[in-house]
Amino acid sequence: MDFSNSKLEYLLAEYEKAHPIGSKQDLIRAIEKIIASERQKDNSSCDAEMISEAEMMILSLKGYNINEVIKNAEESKNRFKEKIVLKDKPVIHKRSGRIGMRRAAVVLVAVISIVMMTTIIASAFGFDIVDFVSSNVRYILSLSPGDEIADGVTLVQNQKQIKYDSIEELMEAQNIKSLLYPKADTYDVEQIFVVNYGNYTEYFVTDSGESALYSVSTAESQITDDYKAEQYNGYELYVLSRDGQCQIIFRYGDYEYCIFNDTYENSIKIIDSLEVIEHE
Amino acid sequence: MNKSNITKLISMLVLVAMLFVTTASVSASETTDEKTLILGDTEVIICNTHNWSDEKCAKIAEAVVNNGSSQSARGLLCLFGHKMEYTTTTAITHKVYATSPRCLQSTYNVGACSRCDHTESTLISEKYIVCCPVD
Repeated sequence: MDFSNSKLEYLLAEYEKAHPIGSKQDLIRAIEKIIASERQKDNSSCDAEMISEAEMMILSLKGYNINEVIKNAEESKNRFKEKIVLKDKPVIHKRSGRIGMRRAAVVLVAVISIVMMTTIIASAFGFDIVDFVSSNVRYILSLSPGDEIADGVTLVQNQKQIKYDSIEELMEAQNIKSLLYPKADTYDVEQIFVVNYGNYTEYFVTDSGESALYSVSTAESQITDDYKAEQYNGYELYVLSRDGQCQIIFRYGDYEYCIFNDTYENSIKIIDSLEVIEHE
Repeated sequence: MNKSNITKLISMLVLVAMLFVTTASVSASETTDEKTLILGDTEVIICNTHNWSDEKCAKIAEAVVNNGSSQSARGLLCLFGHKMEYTTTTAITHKVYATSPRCLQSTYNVGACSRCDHTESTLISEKYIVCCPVD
């Protein structure tokens, strides 16, 4: 290899003036010192080409085949480049993804097993975890059981609750042809309790309040002398007023309606809200 | 008939037997049984759809008469809440008024925890009924 950098030759000549170079080791040491002093300079004034040539010269002096060294260096560089490219290739991700999928599957199976085992054990001890979780989620979201029924009405009979989309649907299921029911903009009926007394059935129509707005019965009450009869909006009302309580009974169609309230005015307000719902 | 076929046959028979037992228990649980309890002047008729014990029915009747829920120590099983079962109950308080209709019929939605003694009742409706004759 030809080392013809005039700067390196000049620096070596300058170095030799102060430190005589008598052997190959002296020459190597001199070149190393030149490289070191050159590297201390700024990036702008540092002669990278001269440093590279000086390093080659050291290698040559140490007995290495420079061409072989360069070739090996090129091969190493190419291998390094390939590794960088491989890192970005999707095949690497695919391998790690497969492992991840396997791990995720194991975790999923473990979680499902734990949930199932917990539910079974809890069920054996009389807990209803599903109900507990759902009721607590409802509580956290501030949903009362009635809030989940945006429209429609729930029929409560014995221990069963049946949700209907509309009062017409409930009437069809209960075989009720005609019914007085609150208008949409008055009371929001949520639940209708059904009690079967054996020889007659009574429906209790309730809104968001706990007590029923009115009851609908298949039986007919005995009207005594304590009732006062009056006509109102085409209904024949029988009003019983006692100790701050007012009971109004009237018939419409096949049913008897009973409103039990604190005041006569509140009872009349409920009657005013009623409209006829007919189902074919 | 080899051993595996016998095992399959026994498994099928066991499954069918289990199906019958389950159906029988479900239909038994759906039968409605009315229990009537008398506490003073009040007659409490409980629609016992959950096959509650006499003690539980008595506790419910007590809660209905006292117009509220009965307080009981929360057991370890109900640490995270009660497992409530609901039904309707009618209470007829006799001779509330001097003239007819004399008796007051109250309808309640009552609930009892299946794991502990906790009960609660909500008044749905009230109504004066002709029941007892005028003295």
